[in-house]
Amino acid sequence: MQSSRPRRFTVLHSGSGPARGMCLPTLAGTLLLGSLAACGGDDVECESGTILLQDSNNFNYQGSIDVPSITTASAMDLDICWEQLVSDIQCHDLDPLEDIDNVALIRFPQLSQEDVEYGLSNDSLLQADIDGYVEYPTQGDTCTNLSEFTFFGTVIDVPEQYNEEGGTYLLLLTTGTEVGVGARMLTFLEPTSSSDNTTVDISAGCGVLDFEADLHSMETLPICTDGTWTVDWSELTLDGLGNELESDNIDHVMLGFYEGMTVDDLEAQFLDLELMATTLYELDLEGGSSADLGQASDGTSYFSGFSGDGVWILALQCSRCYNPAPLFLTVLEPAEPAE
Amino acid sequence: MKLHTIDIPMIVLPFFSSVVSVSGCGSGDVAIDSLDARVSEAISTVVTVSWNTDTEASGYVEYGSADGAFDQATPVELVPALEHSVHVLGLRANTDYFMRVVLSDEDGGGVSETMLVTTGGLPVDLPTLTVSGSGNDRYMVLPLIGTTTGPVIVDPEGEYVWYHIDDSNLDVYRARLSNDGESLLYNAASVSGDPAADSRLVRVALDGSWESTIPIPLLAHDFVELPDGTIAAIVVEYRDYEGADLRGDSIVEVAPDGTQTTVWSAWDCYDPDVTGVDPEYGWTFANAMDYDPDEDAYYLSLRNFSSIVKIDRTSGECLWALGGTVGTVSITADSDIFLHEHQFEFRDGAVLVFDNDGASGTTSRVLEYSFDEQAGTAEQIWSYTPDPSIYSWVLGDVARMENGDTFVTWSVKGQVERVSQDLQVGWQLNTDLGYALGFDTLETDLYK
Repeated sequence: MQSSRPRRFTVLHSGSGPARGMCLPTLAGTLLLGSLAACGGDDVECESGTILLQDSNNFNYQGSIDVPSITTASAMDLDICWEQLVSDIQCHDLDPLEDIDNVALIRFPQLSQEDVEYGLSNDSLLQADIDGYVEYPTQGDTCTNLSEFTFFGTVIDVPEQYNEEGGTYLLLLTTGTEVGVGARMLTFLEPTSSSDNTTVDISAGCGVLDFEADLHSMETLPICTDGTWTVDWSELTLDGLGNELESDNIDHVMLGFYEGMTVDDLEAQFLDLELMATTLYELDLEGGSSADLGQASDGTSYFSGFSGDGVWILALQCSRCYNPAPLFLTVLEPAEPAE
Repeated sequence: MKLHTIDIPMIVLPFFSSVVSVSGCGSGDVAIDSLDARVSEAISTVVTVSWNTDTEASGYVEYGSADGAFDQATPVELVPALEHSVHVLGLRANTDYFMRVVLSDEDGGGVSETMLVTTGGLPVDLPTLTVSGSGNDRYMVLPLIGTTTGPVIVDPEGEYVWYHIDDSNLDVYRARLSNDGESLLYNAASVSGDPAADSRLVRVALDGSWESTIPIPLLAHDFVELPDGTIAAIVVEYRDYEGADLRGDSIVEVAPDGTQTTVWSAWDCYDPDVTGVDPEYGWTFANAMDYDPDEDAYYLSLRNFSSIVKIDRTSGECLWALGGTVGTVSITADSDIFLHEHQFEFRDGAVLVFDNDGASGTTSRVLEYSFDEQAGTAEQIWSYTPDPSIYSWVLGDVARMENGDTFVTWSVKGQVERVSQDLQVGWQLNTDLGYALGFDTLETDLYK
């Protein structure tokens, strides 16, 4: 009945707390972004208190999802294995035995593979787009048969439900068994009457997601090194793709510090922002249009101020959206408050 | 006009909230004091307006989204009082509303000062609803079934105006506003595979301030509330058949005092030796119900029989059945026949049926029959099959509007349509991928 909602941003913490006592703003902000911010607040007035985020502060990205496709026999049982799935769609390492908890097959009767990829990229797929969903809880397996897939105990009728006339079939491998959360790999299956292939080997996920993030064109956000910071996104209208922002989807705030790195470094490894961060402060939201950064935690302590030599970013994320890119991301320019 | 606005912005609280308080106002003979408007902390689209009067009086709240355009109102309080509290319903999230208290004419018709209240944001767990077309005038009380499960109320333009997220890990198939106008009722159950032992009926205050549950093991898809507040629900009833438990159904009533009584059992009407047994779904598999207060009778859809049966509430007698295995009504030979139906609606000498499996292939449809209960005859007079076809292998709902339009809920597809008699879809709502819908209870007004 239900389909999935890949995926939750993998949340990892690395490094220790931010170094203190460094002169701000960041080197990257100064050299790469041409900012005039400087210690002591000479030229740029930093912001604290309630900070209104603007569309001009948002990054730009172009993203696509290129889902691999495997041609198989039509209306026949398949051997499906994912033991070669050693990295996910974000090219992060993955243990196929430990990390894949559920394999689901979703059928889109009216959409082409390109339509599905577009819908995944733009988070625009509707429940009405699908007419079939079966799943296989792996329970430690790395192989199964299509005939083992069920929906709430009802076994798939393979000849009836998996055939060339059925539409587009998407195989979805997830961490966790909650429907719609934790997608790690996507693969189209293409039943074809002329094929006798009954073997499906899911390969590594690197390359499925293709992102080009532009972190240079935005207006960086001057922010005071000390004080209180309530970020308010009520005036945002567009996401990083340039689409109308569904602000109700924002459910996670990420404040990352990248010691010794530049904005170029972040652009180059955009899918690894959580992994690369020296320190990552995070805050889950249940709704609303603002968040107190002082409530964001790195797992051991709450955020208390900007310091260090590197890049600070602020991201607003949607954990239930298919597209893993943040809806909003900006580079912060910490500066001392004007005296 | 004096305007008071106090906003308390959300920082880490779940919902944005606004509170407005005014003391000592009112333009009539009765003084209005301690006027207060408060956005519910549990449901950010519900505002509770409270006030005091110096003598016992009845009043109501006028409101609108533009100053001076008080185009909506709560019902007048039935009982005159000194202390007043009214829930304002049907509000959208993140929206400014102007509100004022009006005393009834009998109490001098005084009017309070105007308050500006801003509703809060929606929880992120709710899926986006996509609406196309126009011409809908009904609120929908809808269960969401998916990553987030729970009852919601959607206004005629497809905006959430009420929500409650159920965290029981059960599904929700039916939600209804309670007859007393104070709460919303829904079932939390499981109909896929074995029924749940921990199923329950849940009652949630319309401002979300309280919640109570009525445990009823093995609840099935549907329930109704009778005019006196009795709740009748479909409950799975196993009995031994050929040495094993066989899944039949019963109707259990929950009286206002909480007493639970089984008022009907399929086992008393039908015999599995005669009807046969579905090896996959058990025996009767009742999946939808309605109640006729004029005749004190239940109507019950039995999926595995593809029959809709009328049951005398007092005696438990099965009076007649339309269609399928136990059908007693004669359906004309040229009529299409429904199979594995879910919701239905008897009205004006006709019956609408959501036919899950009667069409060839994986196609669901709506059938309408003229129906002469006295003669025991039915004849198909209308049908609707969307193009491209839609298959809702479970659930599904239909309802006829006064103008002849038909509301169709394609539950598995997360799609609701309002279809004209000439088969034009004038209005449509869709959920995000990952969200199906339960049965759809339509309302013209959220105030009872």
